Amino acid sequence: MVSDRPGADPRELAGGSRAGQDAQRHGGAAPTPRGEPPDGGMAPAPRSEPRPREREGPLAIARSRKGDGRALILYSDARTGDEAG
Amino acid sequence: MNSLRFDELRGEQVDYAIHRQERTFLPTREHCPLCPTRPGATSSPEREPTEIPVPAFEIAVFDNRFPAFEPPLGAAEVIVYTDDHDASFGTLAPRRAEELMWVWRHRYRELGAREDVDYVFIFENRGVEVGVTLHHPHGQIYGIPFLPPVPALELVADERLGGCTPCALLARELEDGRRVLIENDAVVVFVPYAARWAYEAHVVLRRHRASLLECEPAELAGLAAALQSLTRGYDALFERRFPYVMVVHQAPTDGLRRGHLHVEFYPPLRTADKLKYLAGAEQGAGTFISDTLPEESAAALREAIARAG
Repeated sequence: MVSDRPGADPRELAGGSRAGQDAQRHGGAAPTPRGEPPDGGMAPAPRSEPRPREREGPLAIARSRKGDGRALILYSDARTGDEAG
Repeated sequence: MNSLRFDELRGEQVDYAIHRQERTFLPTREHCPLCPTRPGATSSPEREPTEIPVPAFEIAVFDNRFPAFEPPLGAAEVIVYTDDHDASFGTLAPRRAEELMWVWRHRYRELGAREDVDYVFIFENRGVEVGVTLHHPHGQIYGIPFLPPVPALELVADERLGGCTPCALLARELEDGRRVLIENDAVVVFVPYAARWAYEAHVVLRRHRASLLECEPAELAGLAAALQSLTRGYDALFERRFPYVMVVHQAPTDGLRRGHLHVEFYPPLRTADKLKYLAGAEQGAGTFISDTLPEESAAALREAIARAG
């Protein structure tokens, strides 16, 4: 996308982090809410394969890439597993 | 490639995403791109995989194939509420609706952390009356690379009133009571005093929460319950599938904690079979002409919500 008004004023999200942003754009994982390194420091998973699961509240998060490179995130109820196990 | 042009006369951005002319338009149920992929899918047009290449899923988010915003100036995502083509937000299991709030929260955090996103805009268009091109229950999330005009106006209102406007309006609505539709521990739903649409409704967090990130789990559950109750009431109002635009307003992602999380509904119906059109006064003067009084709309909606259960 191009803009005829470049020079927007990107600002820092309070309490958040911009780290990992470039990684996200290239198929990597975002920083986790707890601040652990993405994937526990493991090398990025190959494209199109589900990534190791993150959590958001009651949800388990599985990331992958579609054939054309677009991101796909599947959210599932992680409470079932918690309750079972 | 998308582009932005700044309209100096109005002082606002216009987004050109001309590839969207080619986006999927009201496909048959068999070709719904938001349904799960059936086993045995091939590359043939009749059996090709859908946007979600798994046989079943709960909630899915993916980059829009026809983005209104795209890196390096923003993002556009689709959020699919369920793999059930015939469901709707109101008919989701309560647990699923609550999970949807967590997905919103997750996307707000992640998109809001990007340098090229100044405002995370979560919304749902429901019904062909508001331009929906896919019927499968879903919403959208734009990572907008600037603060858009409507949320910006809300922040201007805060400056004008010298405090949080949604907090002040909520107090007024609770004191008046005539336009209140739903109350629970977390949120209050009301037809606003100066509603522009006949059945406009605002869903406002009781406590001052700038964004979904500040909400307690119980507040997210309360928000989901109220949203479902309202949307079921909408469908019961005229005993038909009720079209609406639903938008989530919350803090811009600049870290200043401005704004107050709330959800606004703009339904275009003014009767069971008549639409409100934005015509000369609304488009050219920016002044809404309403055919209904908010107090009367609220009374009808309260009855419908009670009937829907």
